[in-house]
Amino acid sequence: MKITGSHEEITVSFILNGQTVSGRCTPRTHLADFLRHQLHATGTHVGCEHGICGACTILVDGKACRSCLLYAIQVEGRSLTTVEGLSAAPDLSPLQKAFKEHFALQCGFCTPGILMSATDFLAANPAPTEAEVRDMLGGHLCRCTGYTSIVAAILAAAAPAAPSDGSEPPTDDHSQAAIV
Amino acid sequence: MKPPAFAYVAPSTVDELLGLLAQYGADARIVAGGQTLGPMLNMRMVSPAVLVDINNVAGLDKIEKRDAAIHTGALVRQRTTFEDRLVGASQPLLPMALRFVGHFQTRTRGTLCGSIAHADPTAELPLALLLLDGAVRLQAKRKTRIVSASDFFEGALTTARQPEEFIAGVQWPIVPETRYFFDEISVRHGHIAVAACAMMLQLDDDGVVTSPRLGVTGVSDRPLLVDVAGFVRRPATAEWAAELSRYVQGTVPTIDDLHASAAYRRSAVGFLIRKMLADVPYRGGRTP
Repeated sequence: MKITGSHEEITVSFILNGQTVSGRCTPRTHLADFLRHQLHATGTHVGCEHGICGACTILVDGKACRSCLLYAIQVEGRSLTTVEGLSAAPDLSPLQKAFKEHFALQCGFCTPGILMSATDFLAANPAPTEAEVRDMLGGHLCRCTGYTSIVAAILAAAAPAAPSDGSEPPTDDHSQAAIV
Repeated sequence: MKPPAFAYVAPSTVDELLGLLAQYGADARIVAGGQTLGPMLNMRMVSPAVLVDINNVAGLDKIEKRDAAIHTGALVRQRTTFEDRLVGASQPLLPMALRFVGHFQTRTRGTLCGSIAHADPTAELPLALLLLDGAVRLQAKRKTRIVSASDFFEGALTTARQPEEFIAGVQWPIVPETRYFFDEISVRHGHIAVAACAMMLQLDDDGVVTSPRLGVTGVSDRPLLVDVAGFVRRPATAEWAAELSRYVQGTVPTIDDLHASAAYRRSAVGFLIRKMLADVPYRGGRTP
């Protein structure tokens, strides 16, 4: 059991979008900063740095997580997916395509995080209701779109059975779940 | 915002973990999900000498149903519990509370025990544990002790846990033939509760209330139980719910802060009770 000193530099290695990568950091290095500054994977954005805005959301072993609330040292050997891993340029994933077709981004700062959340969300729940999509989007801040176009894009990328006309009745009495 | 420098260690056994806690005591901070500790570190509200990461400790991620309770280990994630149908069928209050805990993305990492350990006075899981009369299992090198929820939460961010102890697990009692209610008001879904209410209720065959239990949080420095024994042996009608709502609104102590005034919180608690208990015979998460 090794104790890494507070200013000790260590090498961290993990799988990023299918490739083994490594870099140097100290224990306090955020995973988001490690991705951007050490690995130059700048698709992952950093907003609030306390888990609220969702811009830094990535997949760790397939599950959506905040990379500003993880330290690089914690993900040794794990498998990470960032927005760069969603598709090989110039192709777009079906979700990315839906975002483009529904004008679901303006400045685009929040988009990588939302794409990563929605990827995990749709894998777990392939035919969500609009209320469920809005509940998931509660974990992201977008200051441009008003969310309507993002909801439409995610519903369009979901299985065809999902309702997309906004007429879905609230699932229960927790109506504030729909307020993003 | 970047965290202050800290040393880092990731034990792989409980023995190693307990040894580290014995050695570093209050200078160590345990990280499991890190969804609250992470922001606190980034905002430099805490600066531990060493961060003890328990994510590699084997055997802490178990959810077990035994002795009329759901037992959740230190690494059981909020999301795993929320999505576990067996948990929901046995103890519906857990998913009812968890849907208000953070967001889809933070529940991936966030743990039940972490939320209990942090003891935020607006948090849903401490309220649920108190309402259920659950307990916390605290383990140290020399001894293990079980502390009831009512003794565990001592104030805002303050618990009965000693620096050399870690929360090995939490016990969520299963009470048969009970209806559960949970609701809250927050400025934005997933953010801190301005007020949250939880209730459990047993009704006899004629719809008469046999044992009500009610808790509130977000209104004080810790979750509170409200004595509602006076509302027993009466049918659970709309009038009953309205009277209960007025009673709790008039009884519960509430605080003023930047999120809401004490008067707003009293009003919110009353509203939540009326909303939760509308058409009570047809509503509420139920255990068989």
